[in-house]
Amino acid sequence: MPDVVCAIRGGPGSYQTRLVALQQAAETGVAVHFVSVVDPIAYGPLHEGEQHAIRAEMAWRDVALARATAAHAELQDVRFTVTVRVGELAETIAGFAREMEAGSILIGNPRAAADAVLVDDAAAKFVDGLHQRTGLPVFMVGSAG
Amino acid sequence: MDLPLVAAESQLLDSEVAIVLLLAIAAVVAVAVRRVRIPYTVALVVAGLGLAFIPEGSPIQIDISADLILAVLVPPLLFEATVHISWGRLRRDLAPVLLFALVGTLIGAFLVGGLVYRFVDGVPWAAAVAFGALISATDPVAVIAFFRSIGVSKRLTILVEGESLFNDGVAFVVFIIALAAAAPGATFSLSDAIGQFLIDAAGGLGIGLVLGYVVSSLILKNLDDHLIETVVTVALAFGSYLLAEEFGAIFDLADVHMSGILAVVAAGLTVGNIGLRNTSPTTRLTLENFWEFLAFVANSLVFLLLGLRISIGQLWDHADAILVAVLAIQVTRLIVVYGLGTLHGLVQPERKVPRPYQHVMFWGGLRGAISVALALSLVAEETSLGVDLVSTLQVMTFGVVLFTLLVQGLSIERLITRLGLAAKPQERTEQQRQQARIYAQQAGIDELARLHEQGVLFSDLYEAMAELYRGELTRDREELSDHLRRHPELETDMYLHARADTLRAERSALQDAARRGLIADDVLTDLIGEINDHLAALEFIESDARQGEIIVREEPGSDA
Repeated sequence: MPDVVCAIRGGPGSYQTRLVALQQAAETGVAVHFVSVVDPIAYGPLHEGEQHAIRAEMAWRDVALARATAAHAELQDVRFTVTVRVGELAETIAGFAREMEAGSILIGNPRAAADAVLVDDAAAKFVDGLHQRTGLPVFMVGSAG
Repeated sequence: MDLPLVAAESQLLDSEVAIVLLLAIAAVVAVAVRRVRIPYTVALVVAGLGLAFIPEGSPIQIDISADLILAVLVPPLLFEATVHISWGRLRRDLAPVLLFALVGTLIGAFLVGGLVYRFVDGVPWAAAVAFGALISATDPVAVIAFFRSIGVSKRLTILVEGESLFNDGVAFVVFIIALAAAAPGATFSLSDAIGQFLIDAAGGLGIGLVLGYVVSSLILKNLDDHLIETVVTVALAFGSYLLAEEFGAIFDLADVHMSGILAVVAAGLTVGNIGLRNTSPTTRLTLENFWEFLAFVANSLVFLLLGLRISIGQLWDHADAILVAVLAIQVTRLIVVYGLGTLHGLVQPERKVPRPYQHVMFWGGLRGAISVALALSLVAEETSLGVDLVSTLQVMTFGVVLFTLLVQGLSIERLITRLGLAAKPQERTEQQRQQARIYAQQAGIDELARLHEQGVLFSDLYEAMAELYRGELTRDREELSDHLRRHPELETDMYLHARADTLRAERSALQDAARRGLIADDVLTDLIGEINDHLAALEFIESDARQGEIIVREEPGSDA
């Protein structure tokens, strides 16, 4: 059975997203591939050392939080990987899912964050766009609150 | 022959008595404000109003010249505000910050000036623009206090703080130009004004950057004495202001003037971002406390001095002028924030200032100490403005500051909460409370062990006390674990704080190793640079994560 790709951003709602991904993987016996994406435009004013540090810190954070989530849920046996990519979001997630030959994609709901910048329509469009690019089922975790 | 000296000493003593009395009032206000949940600046305005009842000739009355107010009270306010601003964060939002500060202040000065000129009797055009300029300087002190208490994003904080710092400088330059134009027989040329504006701004920033860099890289880097380092920053803050303001006089260039305010802003930013990285934790703590104290004193004196200059009767007499001024600044702020915000969103869509942020920037554009200090610097005898006009402008300033602090300042928290921008819900406060208790108990246990090791504490007593402590600690740790199990979303925040703390510990260890001669200076510089990059990365990650669970670029013009 193909693995799960889970796109996270480390916001307040990401615990729920990680948990669902790990539970899904545990139920089906597959691995989870967590991916964090940095928009290159955000890199504009940052020098190479800072960009490298961001990627390294994101990887650190994702490994630490994924391990902690797995420990909370007693899912330590689930296999997972952590990847940080730079690029346009939808394009990068889709490319990563293809690379991992994933069976489904999980993303967190952007409306769950305090400073949410996305309206529900835009979030739905994003999910739809990701599905169009990959042909895979895309699930959004967490309610809009 | 000694008489002039005696008179000067007597005047100095009178001033000292007045300042001591004002500081005592400030302390009473600060104590009182702890019991009521209002910002200190709001309480100061109320106290300032109370001082308006004090009769002429009382010992609290003090005469301070315009130059002294600006040279003594403004530098500490600005230096303290800039020294803790992260250049890394400011740089990412430099475009909107400069747009709001530069274009916004210019629009504000002329639009407010135009409305005041049109609707307030007896205010000539140049004086109206001077008022428009001084009242366009926003003061974030009260708003930032709320931001910190309710956990607003760092990006919004930097937008508000950054705009305020630079618009102080721009407002001051426009204020000076407008005052010069108000002089009898003065001729105004737009090209001359723009030229003077550019020299003022570039010269002020240049002086601040050069002096700040010299102090940071030569003195703060090579000296490890918190007292001397503090004295050096005092000399830098006041010295950069004076050098810029008096540049023409010092170098015999009569027509050249540079902005002292922008010099202090640039010096503060340089020390905060280069100088403090090279200092020990003791020095940083000393500097932080010292500048906080100095800014507190300056802020208090500015508000109380204005209270002494005006009376309740004057406020009442000028109620219509105050109303015009309040409406003028609201209309102007509306145009500046939403107009320039939309314009910026079209030019730089990836760093668009979200609409909820714009609402906060509009309603949170309070006026405070800098506006008051500039209004106080209007002394009829030292300007070409008459006594009545100076009084009108000062009363209007006080009225506007009063309105923004009392009405906007006291409602901004509700607006932030309603917009969903507050990130410190109940469970986060509870988590911090539990963590703080564990931290304190651990410190208690460590101190007990130290006393025991030193032989000050008898073994049996140590064991008994340590046992009690350990019991409490275990109970509190279990409570925190339960709390995190109930609210697992808090762990991201906890992770970021813990990671930043460990990186800072790594940095301290490296500095310590260098002091002990274990590693060379160039190795230290490289490694400290790497750690600083990682600390900056954490800030980036934190603000990035708060934008939403996934990144989606907004379509230009969308209203999300």
